[in-house]
Amino acid sequence: MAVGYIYGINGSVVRVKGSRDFMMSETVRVGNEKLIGEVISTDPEFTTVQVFENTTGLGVGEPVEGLGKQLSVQLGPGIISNIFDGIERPLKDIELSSGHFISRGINIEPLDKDRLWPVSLKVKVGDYISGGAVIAVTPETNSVTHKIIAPPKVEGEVVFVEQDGEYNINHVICKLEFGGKEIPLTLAQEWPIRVPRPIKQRFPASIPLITGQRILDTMFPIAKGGTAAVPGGFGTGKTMTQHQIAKWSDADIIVYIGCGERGNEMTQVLEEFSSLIDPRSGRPLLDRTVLIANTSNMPVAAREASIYTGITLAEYYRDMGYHVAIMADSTSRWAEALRELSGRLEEMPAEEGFPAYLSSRLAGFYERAAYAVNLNGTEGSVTIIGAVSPQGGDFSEPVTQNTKRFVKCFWALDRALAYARHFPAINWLTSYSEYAADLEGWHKDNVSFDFAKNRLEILSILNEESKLMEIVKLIGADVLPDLQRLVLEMARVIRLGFIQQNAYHKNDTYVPLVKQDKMMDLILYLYEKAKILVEKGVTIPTLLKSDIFEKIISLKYDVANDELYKFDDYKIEVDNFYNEFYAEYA
Amino acid sequence: MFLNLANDPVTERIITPKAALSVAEYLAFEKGMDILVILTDMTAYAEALREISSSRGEIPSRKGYPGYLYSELASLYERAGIVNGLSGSVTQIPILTMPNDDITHPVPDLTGYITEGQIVLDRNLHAKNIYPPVNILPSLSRLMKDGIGEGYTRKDHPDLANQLFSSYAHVGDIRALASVIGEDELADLDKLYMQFGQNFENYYINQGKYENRDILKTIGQGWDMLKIFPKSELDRVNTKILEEFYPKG
Amino acid sequence: MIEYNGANEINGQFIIYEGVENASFEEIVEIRVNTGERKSGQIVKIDGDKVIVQVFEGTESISLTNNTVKLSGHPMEIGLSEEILGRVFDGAARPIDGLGEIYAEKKADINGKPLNPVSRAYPRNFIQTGISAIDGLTTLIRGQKLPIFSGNGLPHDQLAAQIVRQASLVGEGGNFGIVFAAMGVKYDVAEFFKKTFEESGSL
Repeated sequence: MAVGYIYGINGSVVRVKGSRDFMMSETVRVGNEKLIGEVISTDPEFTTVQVFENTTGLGVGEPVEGLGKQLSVQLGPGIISNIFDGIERPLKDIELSSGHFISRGINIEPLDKDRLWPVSLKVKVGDYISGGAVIAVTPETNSVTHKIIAPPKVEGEVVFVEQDGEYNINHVICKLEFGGKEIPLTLAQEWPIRVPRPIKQRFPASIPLITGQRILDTMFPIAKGGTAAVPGGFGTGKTMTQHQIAKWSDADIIVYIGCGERGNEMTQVLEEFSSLIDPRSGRPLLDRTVLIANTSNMPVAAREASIYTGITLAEYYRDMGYHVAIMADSTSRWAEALRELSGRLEEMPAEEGFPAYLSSRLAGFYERAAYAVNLNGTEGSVTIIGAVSPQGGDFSEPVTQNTKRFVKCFWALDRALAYARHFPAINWLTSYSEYAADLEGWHKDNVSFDFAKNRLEILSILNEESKLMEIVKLIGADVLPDLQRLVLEMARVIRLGFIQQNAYHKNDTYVPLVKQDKMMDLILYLYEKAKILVEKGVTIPTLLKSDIFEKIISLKYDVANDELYKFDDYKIEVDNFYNEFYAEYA
Repeated sequence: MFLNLANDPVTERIITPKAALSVAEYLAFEKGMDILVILTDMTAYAEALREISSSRGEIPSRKGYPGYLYSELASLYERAGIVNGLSGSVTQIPILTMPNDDITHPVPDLTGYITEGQIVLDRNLHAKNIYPPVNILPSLSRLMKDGIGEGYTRKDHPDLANQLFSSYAHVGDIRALASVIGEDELADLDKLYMQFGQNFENYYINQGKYENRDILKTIGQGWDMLKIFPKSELDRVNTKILEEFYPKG
Repeated sequence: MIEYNGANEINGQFIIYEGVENASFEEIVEIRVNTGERKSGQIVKIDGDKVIVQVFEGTESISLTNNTVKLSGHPMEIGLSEEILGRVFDGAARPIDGLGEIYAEKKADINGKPLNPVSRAYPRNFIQTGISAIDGLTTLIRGQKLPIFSGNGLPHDQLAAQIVRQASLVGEGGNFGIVFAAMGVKYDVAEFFKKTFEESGSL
């Protein structure tokens, strides 16, 4: 292994002399305290290392030791419901060893090596297996069955199989023979975080990731294996949106990356997810969640790595045939970490001090999202939902602009909506989803025939409203023709009754697609009937004497997710309203 | 008290908050005290960082501030909090002056991304002689939802707060409309909103520098503001809460 | 500790020394000027035997030849004890109230260490400030960081002072203490807060 000594220090960037044997991306131990670092460039004179821990007190001449392997994560049972830092160190174990505040140079294995897992083997002697093959399974949590799969590049004939039983992660459960060499396989494997794990084939997106959030599922849907960006200034609800998706989406596994964000938010996720129950499995949400916490006060270089750590964990579970969703909060902090390191390396900056490779790094990250056929033939997906924190709330800044090029869903959060406490504050005029068309078939087969049509109609009412509001701002609503005033009224119903969704209300925090569709249907039915009344000469103030509009607005609270039969009653009420007003005024 | 005054060395200015927070952490987490830390003025602190950064010839990001301003601010603000199993706490109230009253300036902007909300003061309210001139629309407390309501303040508090925000946001629209078509031309309901806006600023926001209102008084005051509206206008309040707390008579 | 004579370059608040061995990152150094003046600084970059020192008290009166630098072997530290309550310090934590040095019970790196996210307790206790706009609509919670965004000439100082005077934890006695840090504020602002704290007995 290469051994050198520290020559220069500039923040988290350390220059090393004394050896030409360091490899690119090699993991190194820096200084007497053995801080963790990674080689980022090397030339005959110097090797440059980024250090994942605070470098205060690091001295010139202290040793730097290469570990002979790339910066990697350990993969195996024990990942789910755990919380790690940006380089997969388990924060709970760090607390046990160093107390409430994180010390430096802690060397703890990512996964508990003493814990015994009940393993059932799935191969037998004589089988010929290759990368991705399921060797064994173990219940990792009550919600997730962990499949021990052969590492991607391995193949050979099974020459030894352990009996079913309880083993720790380093126990050899199976041996392969290939080319006269024996390959022992344990419950755990390693994979370098900057290299995507291989798959057999990619599929275009055609199945939605259902989040239970109306503005997302109905208006701007995302597909499994897709990508979305959630840009928004502070206080607009980025984190809230991510939390809601992490809680309610129909992914099998959630990887939540807190990258350069608040410590209390991670605490909140930990607390809430241990007590909230997953509606599908009946188990706590934490049983399907893994958290990566590299909060804003933790070292910047580890923040850069945290994104890759998270996606590698996600790919590993995808390889088992699971649908995984990643929440990356926030990709802007990651980009800023790149900028800070780039500055310390004295590289030539491009826009706003960001390095020229910002765009290719973002592309590389989002391209790791996929709906895939895995090496073992199963299907799985990795969906990426990245929060973006544009400086000054200005979407023209480099991170937002570059992200926009690589994602297909853009859920634009809006300060004006947030100020008016309209949540989720996703602006329906500036957001878009390129998956809407791809998913039409699925919606038709699985929700209702009219889903796509209803969606477009709702959107067009909202668009019409925004045009009319330009006029209203100048002269008031009273002077508009009644048909246009009806559009305004219906848009109000849609905004308050459909788009606004209350994350704190038990009936509204999560809404299944069927109910979303029925709500649209009902609103449009009301519109159709009211339009006839207006055409027959019923004025808007007269119409508004009916309480049907308010009733439909509060339907979201009054009809629970398992009471969809009540929609029939609502339809009858709309009919009654129509008949009554028709008889009296038309 | 740690005092780095305007004419004291700039380089010392970047030590001041760190020293103060070290003391705060010590008193909170080792001596069990509830410490309130006032940091002022964070803009001057950020400017000190900028000055030092530029004299080192570093590549600037926005408005000449160094790329690591976010990390530096975060390393201060994140030192607020409570620790499991310890009795003390560090609560921070940093004060910053927005150059040109611009909330998108890097210092307020990055601060807002790190802190758990913000209280925004407003020059127009100040000019109307309202104290404290808090503009509630851009103001926010992210931790509020988990610390108010039943068992904390009173069960109607969350709905009431939402309604006040929403009604006051609407006042802005109506005022804009009134400035175009004239106040007299407004619909009757819109006139109510104009009245509400004025009352809210004068009697709810406005208070004496030595006036200490307890939380029940504050909540009562909120309902007094809203009773100008018919119940049907209060669409953010749960029907049951409305029945119980909407002022009678 | 080894001392090194003479600087290599002086630029703004920075001095570059060459031939320095065993320097460590962000180490505190003492600079002795032959006029008798002593200044302190911090190593902000190391390149082999060349170190860049940022001088806290300004580089005025320092020449390339008239000074020596001495490494302290440790980063910036602050002495801590309960005696700190009620005292007044300058921006670099030196007492300026004429009451003498603090007897330190322990020393701590001023940068602190990051609090482990799993060690945090989620803040939930309401702090009553007695101000409707805050208590009613932007409630302050114990352990929160809630800034005041203000502008020149707006009464943020009065508001902060009122919060200090009135803040109370409902239902608990609370052992409240105030730590105040002023960065680049005017003299009269500092005086205003000093008076406020004296009045409320919270200094």
